[in-house]
Amino acid sequence: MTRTRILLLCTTLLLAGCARESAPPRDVSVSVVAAESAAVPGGAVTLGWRFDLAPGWHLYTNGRSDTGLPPAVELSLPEGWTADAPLWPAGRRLESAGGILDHVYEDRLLLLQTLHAPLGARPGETVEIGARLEWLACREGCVPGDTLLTLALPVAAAAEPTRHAEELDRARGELPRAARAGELSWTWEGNTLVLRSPGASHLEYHPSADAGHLSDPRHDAVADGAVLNLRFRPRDGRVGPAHGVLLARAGETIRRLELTIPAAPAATQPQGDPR
Amino acid sequence: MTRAMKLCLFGALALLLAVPAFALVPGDDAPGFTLKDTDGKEHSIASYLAAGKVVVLEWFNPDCPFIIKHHKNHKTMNETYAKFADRGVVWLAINSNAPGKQGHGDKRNRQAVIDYALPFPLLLDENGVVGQAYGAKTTPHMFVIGGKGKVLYAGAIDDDRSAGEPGDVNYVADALEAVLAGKTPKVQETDPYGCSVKYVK
Repeated sequence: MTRTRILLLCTTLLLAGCARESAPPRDVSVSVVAAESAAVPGGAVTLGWRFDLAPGWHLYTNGRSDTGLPPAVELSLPEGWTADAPLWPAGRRLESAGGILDHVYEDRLLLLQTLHAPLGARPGETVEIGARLEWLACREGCVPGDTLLTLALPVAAAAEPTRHAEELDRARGELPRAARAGELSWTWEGNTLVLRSPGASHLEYHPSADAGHLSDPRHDAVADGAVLNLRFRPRDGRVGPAHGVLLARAGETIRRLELTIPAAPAATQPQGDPR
Repeated sequence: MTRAMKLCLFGALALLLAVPAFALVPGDDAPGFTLKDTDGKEHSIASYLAAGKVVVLEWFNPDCPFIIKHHKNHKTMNETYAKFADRGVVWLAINSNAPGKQGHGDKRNRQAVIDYALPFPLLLDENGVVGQAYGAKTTPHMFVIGGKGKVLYAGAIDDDRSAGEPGDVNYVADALEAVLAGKTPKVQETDPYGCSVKYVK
């Protein structure tokens, strides 16, 4: 059994590769699946980069964590082909001794990425999509890993959904999204951002890497009920912004809402650290 | 009361009052401590500060990929220390990993001193008291402490958060240059990066 298993799961999308692997650890298996059987000229193909983790191991989200490093996907595309940025699902909070708070994925990370074929792509041809995946997997200790993949992608006049399309659609449906009317409101009260999500029984804030720093991330970012008070610690003359994801649980439903709340207005920016 | 005694007293008080959930930030009092290095020699931060030294603390785990980056694949720490060693700077590496955790133990750390050719002491803090008093979260997590016992810089060693290449900006070197020139560091706080410190649960 190889240390990294590259699963070739798409029946009609030809993966030429498994290509070269450099020091892949045993803790992560990497594979790629696609939602469409081929690229249509001028159309899009949804890829899913899968990181399957052995029990006890985790990867980091692209949000703020005290430790670790998020995975990276670096594409090498033929001329005229483009790709959107990968779409990151919400992770889960992981608290460790010493007040360490991370946001991580366990079991599996499925990163969606949309590939755009140029209008000039010719049906019948096959293009090579190269990808370098890097990650840091941690349990007690951390192990960096990386893999090179080459994807041989057919171009066709029409494409069919693959057997992975449903899984990728489901993953897309679980991505953080903009709040709809009535789902979220907020006000600044000095250093504190008061978030309200009507109907929620539990709220959890997962800050993005560029978000302002909370005074007490372990305690302030979680609340039972529909109101969450985020106390920000002024830093570099700013209070906030609140960027990231708000997880709002209501019964069995979890809403994953994108937060893009700017820093507090200058007039309300208080002085000093509230700690 | 001598200056060293006062620093010891304030240090002990600061340790008692330390809130482990938070990393110290610039302007905070640096908690005092005395720890033994891998040769069994005791090091007291209060003594160094009383002698007018500027102290750099580096949280350390010999088997963390980010420590390997800066101590083996690149010599960031040793080279930074070398620039300031004869300018009144004391550099202390501290391992706060608990027994049974990655990178813990006298033997492993004595070997690390050899393997990484550490030119500064490596202190062992296996109960994590000092690490938690400073709120050290990553290896490495860097602190620059001034003569008055204040934290002058806290955060990352540099601006490349990967486990591969060192960054273009060495925050600790920049902070030391400023402090030694009697100035406030331009960048006093950054987010540290690296592996987690493996504290006792």
